[in-house]
Amino acid sequence: MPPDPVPAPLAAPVPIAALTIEPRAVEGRIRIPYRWPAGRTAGAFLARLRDEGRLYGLRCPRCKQVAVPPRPRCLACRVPSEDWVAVGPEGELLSWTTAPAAPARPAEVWALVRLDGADTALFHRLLDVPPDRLRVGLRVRADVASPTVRRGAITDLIGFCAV
Amino acid sequence: MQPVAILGAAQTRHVARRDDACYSELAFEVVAALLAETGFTHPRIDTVITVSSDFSDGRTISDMAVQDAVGAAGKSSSKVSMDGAFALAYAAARLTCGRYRTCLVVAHAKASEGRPREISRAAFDPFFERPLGPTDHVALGLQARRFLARGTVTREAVALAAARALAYANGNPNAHWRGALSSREIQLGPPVADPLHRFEVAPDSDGACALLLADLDTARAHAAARGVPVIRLDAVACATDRHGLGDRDLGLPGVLPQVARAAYAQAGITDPVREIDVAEVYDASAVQTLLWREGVGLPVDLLAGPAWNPSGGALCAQPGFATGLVRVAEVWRRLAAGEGRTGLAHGMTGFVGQAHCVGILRRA
Ligand SMILES: [Zn+2]
Repeated sequence: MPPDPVPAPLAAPVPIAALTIEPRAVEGRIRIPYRWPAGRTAGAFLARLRDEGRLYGLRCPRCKQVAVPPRPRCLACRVPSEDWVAVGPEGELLSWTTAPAAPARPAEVWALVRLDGADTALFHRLLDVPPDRLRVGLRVRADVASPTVRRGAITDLIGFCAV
Repeated sequence: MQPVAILGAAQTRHVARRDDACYSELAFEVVAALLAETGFTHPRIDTVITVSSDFSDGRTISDMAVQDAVGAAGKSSSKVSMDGAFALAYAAARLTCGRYRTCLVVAHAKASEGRPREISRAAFDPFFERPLGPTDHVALGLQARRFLARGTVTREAVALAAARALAYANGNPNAHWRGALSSREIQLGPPVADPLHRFEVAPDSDGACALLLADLDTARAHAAARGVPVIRLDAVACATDRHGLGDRDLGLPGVLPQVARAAYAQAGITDPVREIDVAEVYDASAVQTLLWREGVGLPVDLLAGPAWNPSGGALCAQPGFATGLVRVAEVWRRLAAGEGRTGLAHGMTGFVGQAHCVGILRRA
């Protein structure tokens, strides 16, 4: 039987810590268009906002709570909700915060509003409310864009103003 | 739940930017440290669960990209794309099913590689919320206002919680933020999402964390061989709440009380104030430092009951989805060092605590 070949001596490994590592970074950007069909519930809400300039919620047949934004099933009872009811256009300010949408962008005022006739709150913007008037419970009113520019998006609602 | 045990925990320092390591190298750091600490080798690890966010990594199926770092090749591996604390539930399920004796859990996050605010926007509902352009910080601000409007806690108490976190972090070598600021100085700092100011909102950190879990027999043999205590995971519970920002009252602790009660029942805890020695919760804001306390059934007074976020909490280091796993690692470290017998670790996912997970650790 031939003897095992003698392995050639390896060069001594250089510890990685001893190497000068030039930090390199690869820059990139992921940009992928999407198309999200709004479905029957959000779709109906947005179509009515466009066509009528009004806000609607869905009422649970069991507990009678009205969800705005509408949810196809009651969040509490989990039964299907099919009863559309008009809500607002006035409501109550539940919360607000001032923050930029991105670090470099100007700060905007964001709000949670419970519309009259609704039991849950709609997230949107506050428009031109003087800071000294801001308080939880403030009466606010939906400001909807004019019919010619509405396109069936939540931005057809421009935001909420103080009543 | 059949008890399982946590044999070891490792984490990196959490910093603003780790340009010296790509994310799989970051994951490898904690795996290497954990294997060195426990004396385990890859052949003795039966299954691997990684925790990462595809959006944060800028790479889909981000778990596949760290398989070399975590030694997953040839093993059954899976992924949690939520906060890392939820991986505890997954790991415990894998171990209690009896097919695996050991499970490695590894979470990594490099907030510096992307733009955390813009990435957070992609989690909002595309029909009612996202077109308006909110971020995770907007949700934190809305929650803070709701919480303060309840009147149970003062504005000052929130700033004090942030000041306290920075002070605690001075003793945590892994913390991203440390400091000595008064509650007044914090309230005079730059606003982030009012009423929250800088240091009342958790930083965006680069960091990683790893845990090794095992069945109780393996854990006992390991403990005996190395002269270390067995740290059991006696309970893990989680639940998810409504998604829409206006579908739940953000100023309340949501499903957390229910999650905590389930965890206490599993672990046989009847009086959390007296029985829990240390607790680490994922507080993305100083309001959450207080609100999650209420959620797990502890009094508002931060000095009553267990040591509360003694690491400084997420307020001082928030490495993405690794943040909740770091809470577990911190509790494990303190119990292993003899700083108490029972600990609570909490993680959350979704805006301002849509989903919560609570684990109860106990030194045998
Ligand atoms: Zn109902």
